[in-house]
Amino acid sequence: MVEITGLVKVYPDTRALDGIDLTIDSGKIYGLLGPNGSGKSTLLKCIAGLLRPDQGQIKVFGQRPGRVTKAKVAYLPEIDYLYRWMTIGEIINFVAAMYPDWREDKVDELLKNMNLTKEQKINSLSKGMRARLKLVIAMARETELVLLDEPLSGLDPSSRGKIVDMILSEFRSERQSVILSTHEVGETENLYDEVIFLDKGTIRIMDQAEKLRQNHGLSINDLFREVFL
Amino acid sequence: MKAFWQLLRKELLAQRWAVGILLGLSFVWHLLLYSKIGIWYPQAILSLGLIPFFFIHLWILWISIQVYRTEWAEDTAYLLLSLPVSSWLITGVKLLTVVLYTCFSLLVIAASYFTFFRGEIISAIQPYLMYLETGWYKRDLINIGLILFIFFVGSIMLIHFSYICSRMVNRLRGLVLIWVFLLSNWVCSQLANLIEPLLNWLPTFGVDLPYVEFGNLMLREYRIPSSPFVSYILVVFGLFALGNWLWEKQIELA
Repeated sequence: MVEITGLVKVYPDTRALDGIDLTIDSGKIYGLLGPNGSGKSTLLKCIAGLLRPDQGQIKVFGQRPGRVTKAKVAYLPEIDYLYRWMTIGEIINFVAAMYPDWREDKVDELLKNMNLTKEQKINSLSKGMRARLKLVIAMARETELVLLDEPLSGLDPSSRGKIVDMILSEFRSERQSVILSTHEVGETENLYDEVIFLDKGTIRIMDQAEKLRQNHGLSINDLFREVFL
Repeated sequence: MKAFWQLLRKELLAQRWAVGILLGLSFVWHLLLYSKIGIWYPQAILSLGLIPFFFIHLWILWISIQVYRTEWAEDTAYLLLSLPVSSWLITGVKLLTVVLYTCFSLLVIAASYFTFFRGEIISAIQPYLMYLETGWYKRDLINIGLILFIFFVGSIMLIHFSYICSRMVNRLRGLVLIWVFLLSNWVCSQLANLIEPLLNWLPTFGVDLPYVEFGNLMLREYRIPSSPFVSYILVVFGLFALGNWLWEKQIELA
């Protein structure tokens, strides 16, 4: 699904990614874990085609990230990237017109589950509601790869719970992969099939979540604390 | 096609307040001048009434940058750049938005001008009405309008190209934008001069321009070759295409 070899991404003042080798397989949820500034967002942006590698290469469904792969990848950035003057219905119509894999039948159900209505204005939504809307937009597509960048960042426990439940319920394990980046591991611990610990642009640990728990005798959350704190 | 209409709707709605401000200011200005009819000289009122037509040049410059700048200022560039649509569709719709809003604004300002100052305008052009009745202006207005429209659209395309270039640097973006805009205009003139001889076979067209001699309105026909305009269009289009390539292949969201 995704093949990354020797990926290097350099910003003017820092080396954000430093020789990443990674393979993402179908049917799994990957936890991309690391502290702030570890390169999680940069890696997801590279896969989404919003950043270009300085060295190395990325193949998404066998192709370099670009217009073709963007049609097959659902990307949810950490920041609020929706037009705030639109209503939920307007942004849904806007995004639906852009993606051929949009599931019109699914949207109403997802909105209802997230306690959102199409008439609401985006600029009147709370941070938690906007985060839930972003997730609805990402999950309402029939994509094989979903990239979620810090979907729980700065949210209240109720919104966090709803988001985790939705990721779990909407994940189509037979043909989809989800890469979820976060530095708040506790609530997402049980989602992961595979875990990648990213530190200063390099992969520090990468293995199956269950294997890591057995080998270290710790939960992923405790292992994260041990490695990074 | 659905993507085109959604993008166009989005652009038109996103910039509607910018048009509202322009038309609102223009209306208030015309209203102020209207209140001075009979107090100020008619020629002064007619001349001052034209100010919005000059101000619109600055407005075009501003809104041309604004259609791109807001995407970054409001972080919606993340959405726009992650869409699986051609860069031509995105940049083309932004260009179309500026063109549509400018034409609409010009029409509304012109309507406002002629509505408020109809009496003064008729008095001012009374001596020349018989010339206007000959209908000389019909063909020429179309030709002159077409030339102005080409340079107007070309200028917007160069501003958009300059903005895209400025997004490729991390610092001094405003300066880069201005520098690229000036440079691209120079490049256009130089390349257009190079290409022009190859297009000499293109037909010329005539424009009758009026002038006043001893109090009489006279007409003089000028023959204008179309090759400079076509070569200018080709070069501008080339830079716009380069901008599209940069948008799709080089613009990053760090």
